[in-house]
Amino acid sequence: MIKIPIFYQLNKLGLVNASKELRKLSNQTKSFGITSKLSIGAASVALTAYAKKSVAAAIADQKAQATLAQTLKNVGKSAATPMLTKYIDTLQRATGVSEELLRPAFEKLVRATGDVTESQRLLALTLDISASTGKTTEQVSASLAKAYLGQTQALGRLGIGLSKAELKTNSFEQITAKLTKLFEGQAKVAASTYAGQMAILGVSAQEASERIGIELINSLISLGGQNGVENLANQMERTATAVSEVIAGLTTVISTIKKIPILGNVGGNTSIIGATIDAIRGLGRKSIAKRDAKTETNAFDRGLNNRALDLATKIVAKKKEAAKIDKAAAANTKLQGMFDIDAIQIAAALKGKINELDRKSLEAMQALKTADKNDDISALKELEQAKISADAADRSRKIAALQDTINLNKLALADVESTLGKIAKLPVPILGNIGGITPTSPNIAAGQSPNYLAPVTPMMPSTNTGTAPVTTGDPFAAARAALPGVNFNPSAVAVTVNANTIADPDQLTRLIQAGIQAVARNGWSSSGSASGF
Amino acid sequence: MPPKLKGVEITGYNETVALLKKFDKDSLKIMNKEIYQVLKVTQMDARSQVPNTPPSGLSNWGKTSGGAWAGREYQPNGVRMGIKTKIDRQRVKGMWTSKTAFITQSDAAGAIYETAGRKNPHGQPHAPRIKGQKRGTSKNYSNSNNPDAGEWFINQIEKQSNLTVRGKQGRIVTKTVEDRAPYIENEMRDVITRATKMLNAKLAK
Repeated sequence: MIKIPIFYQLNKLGLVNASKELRKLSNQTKSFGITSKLSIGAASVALTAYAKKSVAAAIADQKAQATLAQTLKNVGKSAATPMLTKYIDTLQRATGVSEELLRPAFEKLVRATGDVTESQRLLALTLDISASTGKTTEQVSASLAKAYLGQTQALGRLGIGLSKAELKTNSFEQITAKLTKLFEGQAKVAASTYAGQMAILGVSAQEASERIGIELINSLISLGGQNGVENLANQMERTATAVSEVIAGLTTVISTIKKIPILGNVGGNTSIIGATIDAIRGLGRKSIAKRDAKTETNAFDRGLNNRALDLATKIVAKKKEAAKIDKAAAANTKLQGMFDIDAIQIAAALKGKINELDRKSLEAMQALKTADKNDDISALKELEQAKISADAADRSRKIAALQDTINLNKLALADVESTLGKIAKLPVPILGNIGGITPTSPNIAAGQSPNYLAPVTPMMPSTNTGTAPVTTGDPFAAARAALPGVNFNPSAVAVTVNANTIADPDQLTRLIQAGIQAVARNGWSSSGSASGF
Repeated sequence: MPPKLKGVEITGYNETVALLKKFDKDSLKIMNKEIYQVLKVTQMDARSQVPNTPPSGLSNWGKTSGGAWAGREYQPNGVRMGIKTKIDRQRVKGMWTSKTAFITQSDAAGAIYETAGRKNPHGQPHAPRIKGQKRGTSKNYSNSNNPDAGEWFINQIEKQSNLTVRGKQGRIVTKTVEDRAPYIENEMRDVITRATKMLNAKLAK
């Protein structure tokens, strides 16, 4: 069988899935530290960077210690220096606030108060306030120091729940008492949170780093001999040359040693060089332990510090990765948003005043634009619901309009009925003759009334079935009185036809009478009737 | 880099189908019917290209016989009815897949007529039978006692159809698809556009 494609559309799904899997695999290998990018060279660079960082941390720490010691000496409390060093160390491990922050804060406080105990109390308060408000330890301690000296405005700016009046009127003791009440235990709570625990681990890592740095510096100084660093500088230059020569020579020595069967292997697979290095490391360990034992006992587990260091390094790396990914994703989303005209138009339309159905339609279109299918389904459901609601509302509106029309018609009908009732009760108007005509013709039969041609009185049809109302007196008396110049007596209107015409006078008379009747019936003006209808 | 396939490449078809499946199944039915019409027109065109007689000089090809050619006789109606359409998926080299509309020739004689001479325009190279053996063992070599028959066969088909085919070319079905490619592309674009409009109209209600 032959199969010939007519049309096709490529589907990237397989490719996308494969890319995802590859990315996942790459992440996993990275997390295990076996990524191909991480070469020995990179590891050595990282180690060098860490060593530099450790040395810098040790230097900064030593400098901060010296500054605090000098401050204490200046305020006459130099005896408290060892105790305070230990206190700050313990405090940083308990709260997770680095000693780099604690020392300057304490320094500020002790400079202001001149009292170690009071400064310790205020430092504890500083940590509580800092943990609660999110202000830096330095900011809070500076404010407290100022307040101790009488400038309470800085405390007000911290936004810690003290009014201006309170700050002005209350004494420092009262203010601190209130603050203690307000912020008591905040630092402890903060330290017990995950963030706090991480900060404590961070402190441990920092301590480990400093310790390594101190050892590096000590080692370098000890290399300098009696004159310390001065000798070291000179020695370093010589050492550089010497080391390069030694390395070159050592390579030859090692290759030679390897050739000697007895020295090449000690016991199983252990080389004599490896055994020598192990022995040197052992000596180093003993030396460090001896010196530590002389100075102070190591209160903290070295293993913990190492683990914390590893953890902290991993956390930092992960955070950096996450930040990078977030940044890329945010940029991508922003760019898509910027150039997606449809999305912009939909968003703009949604901001306007639109009815519910239109809103749901727009939201459905918006959901359609996203990759997530769940929101499509929910949007569709909402859209259908909105349509049903809109239909129902439309139907009820129409019913209400119909009801209104019915009510209006009912009212109109009632009005008509009422009017008809009133009309029925009215007296039937009876008009008199409008112009009787006296026939002059001699052809009128004997006994025939001369008024037989009296006009037919226009009568309004009476709707009342009962007895006709009886009118007493003259109903038009008032009208007559109002128009005194008008002759209302119909008998006074007489049309005498004396024309010598060829027409039959009676016929002519009937014609004139019919014309007058038409004028009266239709309410036309009688003035024009003379010249014809 | 996406692979280059035969036929007309269209875009938006899969997405439109997915959306219609989700929101407007009636429009999907309409769209499928319209696509079927496009395919049907192509199919009918291809069927109309099938000659009513076998090529001159190959009259025996049109007669029912046994042996190696049994079931491969050229019957015009059989060849016509062997041309069918179907929509299917095909896995392309690598990670790509595609949803594809095919036109197929399921009749053996039709397939022969379509492709004869693509690979060996002068018939398969001849490898004489080794003495004592019933058939030769060499694949892709003719062991026929009539070595020129293949070339003759191809020549007669070429004469009738006026088409020489090479590589992936073909005489009836493939040629029809190639000739109608612009029409198919336009029609498919229209079909997809119409379906999209219908969906938009429904959503905008």
